[in-house]
Amino acid sequence: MIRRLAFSFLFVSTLLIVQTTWLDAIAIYSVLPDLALLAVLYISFKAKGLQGQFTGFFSGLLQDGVSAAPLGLSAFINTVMATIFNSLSGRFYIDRILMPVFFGLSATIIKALLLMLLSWIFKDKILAYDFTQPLIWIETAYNGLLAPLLFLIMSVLDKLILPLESRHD
Amino acid sequence: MPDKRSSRRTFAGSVLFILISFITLMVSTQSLSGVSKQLGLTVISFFQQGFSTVGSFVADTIYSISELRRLEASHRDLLIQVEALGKMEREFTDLKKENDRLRQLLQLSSEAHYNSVAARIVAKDPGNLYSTFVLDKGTIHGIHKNQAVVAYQDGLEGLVGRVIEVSRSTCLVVPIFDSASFIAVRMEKSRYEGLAMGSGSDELPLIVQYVKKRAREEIQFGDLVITSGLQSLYPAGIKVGRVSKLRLLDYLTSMELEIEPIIDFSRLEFVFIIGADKESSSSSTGGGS
Repeated sequence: MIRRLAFSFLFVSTLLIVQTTWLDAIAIYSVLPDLALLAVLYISFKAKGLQGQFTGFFSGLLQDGVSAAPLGLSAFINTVMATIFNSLSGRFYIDRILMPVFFGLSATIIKALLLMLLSWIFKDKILAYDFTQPLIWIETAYNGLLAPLLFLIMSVLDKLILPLESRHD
Repeated sequence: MPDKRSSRRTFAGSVLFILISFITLMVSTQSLSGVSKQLGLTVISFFQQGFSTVGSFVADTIYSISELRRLEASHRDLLIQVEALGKMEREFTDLKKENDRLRQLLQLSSEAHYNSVAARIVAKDPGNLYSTFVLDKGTIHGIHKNQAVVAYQDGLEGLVGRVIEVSRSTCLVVPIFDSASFIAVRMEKSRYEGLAMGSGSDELPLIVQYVKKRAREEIQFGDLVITSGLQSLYPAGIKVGRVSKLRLLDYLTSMELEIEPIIDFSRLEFVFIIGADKESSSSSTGGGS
């Protein structure tokens, strides 16, 4: 159990570091995909229990540490996303392409809506996406495109990330 | 029954995590999070530096093959140029002597007015809404919060941003195009003042507000905009950008300008973190001894 939690956290943290260093080379109009969030979704959907929420919360805290975002913002977003996708766990079958694309697209939109809500609550201390600007749509498309690839890579690591009963879902 | 209990436990756990993160967010938006942020920056930036170094090594190795061919060709060209440069060098020495004499006459320093520390960008902000980046210099290199950061491109020194968080060996810099950046500026030619603010993206120009409407006749496209030094964060005279658009709004008593930053942030790799004025630091050292 602890080994799985530690590995999930390490995996998402590594994705976060890759996202902030190497992925800059493939940024489209300076927009980066949110690999860490996609990985949290995968873990939350596949693993029953609190593993996704745990990973989302702690990787979010780490993300806030290297960002101009206020501490707790990514932790909150990741935990809420993990809770939503964990509640869908086992409700439907996840294929190789269509469902990951749908996960990537919907997660980015939900994240944008959550940020709008937080920006409204905390006034101008939190930035939100502007739906009339291309930024949010590029990130949505990018996350949708990369989700099948990331989910495929993560499925290879199922043994290390997921509990035995979740591996063949 | 056990299933129901386990799902109840999962729900309670989720709520707990959400609550903790929300409380953290509440605390941090009141700016009480300095210590925890520093800790996070210290830990993750250690790995970021490693990843950045490995990435640079792989990229450099790949580039080095094509670079070798290019170097061979340029070596031939350079041999030809060396001969021409020999002649130019003699002319340059004469010109430098003349320049030094003129500088002495004008009582100008031949070097920059402030101390600076060179730094490399090792990572960028993980989120797309924020545009900070991490530099490989921290408290052990004498860096502290709110120091200005500049860079040189095409022979020009331009303002990059300021340090907002410092860990032991890294620091976090917010660039001038960030929507949280405000810079007191001045038109280099006409000397009118204004307040420049970022638009949130390096693709968009900076907006300068509160420029007197009567300055309209004296401001032209391409005019240089520099820091005014009125805001204590940035020393005076650093180039910020060039005027690209003038906007006169009837309902405002002042006009708005759009300026293109001097620095092209998409190809920024190395920067300089500006320290105290050379004069003031030397005088304070002198005072202490």
